[in-house]
Amino acid sequence: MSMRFSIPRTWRERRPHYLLEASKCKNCGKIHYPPRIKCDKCGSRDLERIRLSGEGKVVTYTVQYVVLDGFRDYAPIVYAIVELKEGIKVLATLTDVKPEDVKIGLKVKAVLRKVSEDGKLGLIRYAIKFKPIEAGS
Amino acid sequence: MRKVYVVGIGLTKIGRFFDKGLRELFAEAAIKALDDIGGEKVQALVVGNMMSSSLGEQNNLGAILADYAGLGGIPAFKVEAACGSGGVAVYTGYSLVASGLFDIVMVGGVEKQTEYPTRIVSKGLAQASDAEYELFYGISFTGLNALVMRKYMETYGISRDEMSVWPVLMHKNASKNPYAQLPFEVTIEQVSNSMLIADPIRLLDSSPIGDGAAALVLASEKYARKLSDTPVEIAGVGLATDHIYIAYRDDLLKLKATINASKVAYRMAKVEPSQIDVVEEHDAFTVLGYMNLEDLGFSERGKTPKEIAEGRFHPGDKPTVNPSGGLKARGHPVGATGVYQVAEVAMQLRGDYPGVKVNGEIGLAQSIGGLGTTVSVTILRR
Repeated sequence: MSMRFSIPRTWRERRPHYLLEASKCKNCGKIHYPPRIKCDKCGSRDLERIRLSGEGKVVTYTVQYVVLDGFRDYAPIVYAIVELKEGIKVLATLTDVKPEDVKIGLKVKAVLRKVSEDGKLGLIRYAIKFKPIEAGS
Repeated sequence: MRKVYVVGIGLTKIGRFFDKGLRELFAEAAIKALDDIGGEKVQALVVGNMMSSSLGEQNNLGAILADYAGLGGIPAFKVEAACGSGGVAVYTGYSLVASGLFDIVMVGGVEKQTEYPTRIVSKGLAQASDAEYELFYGISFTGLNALVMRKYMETYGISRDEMSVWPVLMHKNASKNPYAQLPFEVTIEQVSNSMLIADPIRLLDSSPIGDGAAALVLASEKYARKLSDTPVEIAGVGLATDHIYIAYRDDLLKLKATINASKVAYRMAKVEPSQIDVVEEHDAFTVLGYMNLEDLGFSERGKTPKEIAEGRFHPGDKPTVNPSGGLKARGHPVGATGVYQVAEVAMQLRGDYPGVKVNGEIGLAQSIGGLGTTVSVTILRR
């Protein structure tokens, strides 16, 4: 049985992927996602971990028809850069939405979803994806 | 620092060569370059390559290629910066001669991309992006660039047909280039209606997948005239990096690494953009073809598509951009491309370029790794 996804690596990266955990500089306030150990704005190493809100809007997006090896079952896939209300941007898959309904400015919120799996017997990768916020919710 | 000159050049045609591997392709280019310097020996080898390891299961590439091309057990190593490996190889080779460590160095670039179907090669190419936070989601390198293309079109109000002007120009130039992978013309209509890969990027917006190898010989001033009748000086080099996670950048519509690398190169060569006669820039996708010219200081943000439609940057203009046909039509054997570009500019300046000719004194080559993550700029002077 081959192993395409690393178990230690998946475990190590679980907080940014499952919780949208970022780092925040206690010195200058800059938020970094993915999280860091040294602030790239002021150079401080006094950083704390925070969980981002997961609420934001689509800044740009693409509908990918020609997919990578292992993603055939999910095609076409919508990817977006989402600007969260904290002012920081993240890249993720959009879910629970038709490609033709996606537009720049669409309001979205983070949900935890499956991203890919290592065959029928292997590791399942999960992470934050974004879905549209329904009107009135 | 000492002056460094391009004294020898060897290129292979770019295409699908099932009968040639990394060694055979590299040897073909290297032997041509050695013939170009009258059979003299080189003292070291730097090779640019992206996927020998991920697709070819091969590391220690420098040593293998030096051996197979008959260079002996000279100092040899690979440098990697994804699709910008070639530019970084030139930068490294330059530093080896400028520093005084060597007098005659070969800079090579080689890539094999045709051993597997697209879905697997794409996975290799996507390693130019953030493995843990971009590739992780399955986004292809094309998908990543599509995010930028949409933003560019939306921000500046550029239509699909206006974007298509770039591939049309690239193919027109490549139709005269004997090394080009796609030496045929295309129309705006063909580009705009080609297959969608990652909306809005279509097949004819994207550089093709192909194999190729290029080799340069660089020499110090002491050896330059002995090895070549037409040595071309490397007058300026610059290299810069940026956040790999593109969502972390402030502005998706400029590549800071291009701006920073070119500033250093312009200053070192003591030239301004207005003095450049010929440019070979890294148009992996249509949108980059336009953005690169803006970042390099040749045109205003968002105005480049219209300017090209009006004839700017075409053969005959100063600067002439991508007379080779660029990555789009000359081709993009990823790790080798940066070496092709410097070779092409050097051939233009020394007067023996076999395609669209540009009469000029000063040329610029720009090579990008990832989506503007590592950028090198090389300025050459006759």
